Amino acid sequence: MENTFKMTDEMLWDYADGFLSPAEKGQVEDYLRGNPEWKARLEMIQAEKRELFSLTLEAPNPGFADRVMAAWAAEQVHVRAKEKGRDWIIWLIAAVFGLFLITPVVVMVAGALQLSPEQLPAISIPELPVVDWALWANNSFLQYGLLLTAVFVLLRFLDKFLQHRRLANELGY
Amino acid sequence: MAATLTDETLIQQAVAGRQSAFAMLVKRYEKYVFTLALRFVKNREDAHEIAQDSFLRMFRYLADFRGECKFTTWLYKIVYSTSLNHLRKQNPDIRSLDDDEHPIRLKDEGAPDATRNMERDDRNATLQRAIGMLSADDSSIITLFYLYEQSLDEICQIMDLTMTNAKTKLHRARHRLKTILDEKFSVEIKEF
Repeated sequence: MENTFKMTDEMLWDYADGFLSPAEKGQVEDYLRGNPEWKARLEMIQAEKRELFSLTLEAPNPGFADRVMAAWAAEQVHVRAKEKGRDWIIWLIAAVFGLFLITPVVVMVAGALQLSPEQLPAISIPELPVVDWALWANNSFLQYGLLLTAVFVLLRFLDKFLQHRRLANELGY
Repeated sequence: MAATLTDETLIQQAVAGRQSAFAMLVKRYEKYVFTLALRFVKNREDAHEIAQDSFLRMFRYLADFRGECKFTTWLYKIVYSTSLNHLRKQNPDIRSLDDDEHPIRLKDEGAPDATRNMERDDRNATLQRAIGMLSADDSSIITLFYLYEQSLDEICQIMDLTMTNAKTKLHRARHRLKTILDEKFSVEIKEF
């Protein structure tokens, strides 16, 4: 079978960089054994590689790390202020929701406290006023309040989701 | 003490809010980040800006780093993307570094005058200067592969390339580097 192997500079670089498969590597090594001029070229490539590996890093100006940390601290202050605003919304949602839950209990207890001693039978336990839960549930104030709460919560999740999408886009993930 | 802490430990501490861990990460990688940024913009002022932006982005998103790749690969990807955004701001027509219609050409301000101060330059400095004359795409792939010792696979992740593309780019970059060295620095480097 005719040997169609042809040595190129790129193939030598691939050999030096370790990109070749074991079969290709074997072919290159066989070829190099019979061709000293290419072997000399390989040695040159390896010297060039050593030069490239020995390149030095550029140093930023003195105080660069301090400036980065100062910028980060400033950003954190800004983020905390923003977060505080978001926390305020969360507390408002919690307060509105808590109000709807606590109000019937408060109404019930207040009603019980308003009963005068004359109204109480001597030996019986006072009967607590009954809260009409169905009426409460149909209250439009409650319904709109819950709806508003749900919208707030949804917006909060949407905000978080969009932040993650933005990050993914920026980093190209 | 700082040198003995691994990247993973520093990342955990930083995510937990420890400021000193952030500072140690910056100190550890400032030269790498700055050098890579300098490969793109070729002037120190812009490179400082890119390096700082890259670190700030690293801090912001550190909690999202899941360790699916090496930390350095993740960090260099941030630097690469920040540099690309910076270049796009300067030239909105650029879609990618691979854009043949709008190739990124280097500013000449950082390009060396080959006839000046030749005696003072050693081989390493000459090579640095020759790399500085390459396109952003070529110089960054050479820096990542040889100086930062990132594997081809990691370079694919950083530069968003296929394996074949990365290999071709590396060949092309080396070829162009050789051409620059032959044409502009033949007096200093005979063998390159």
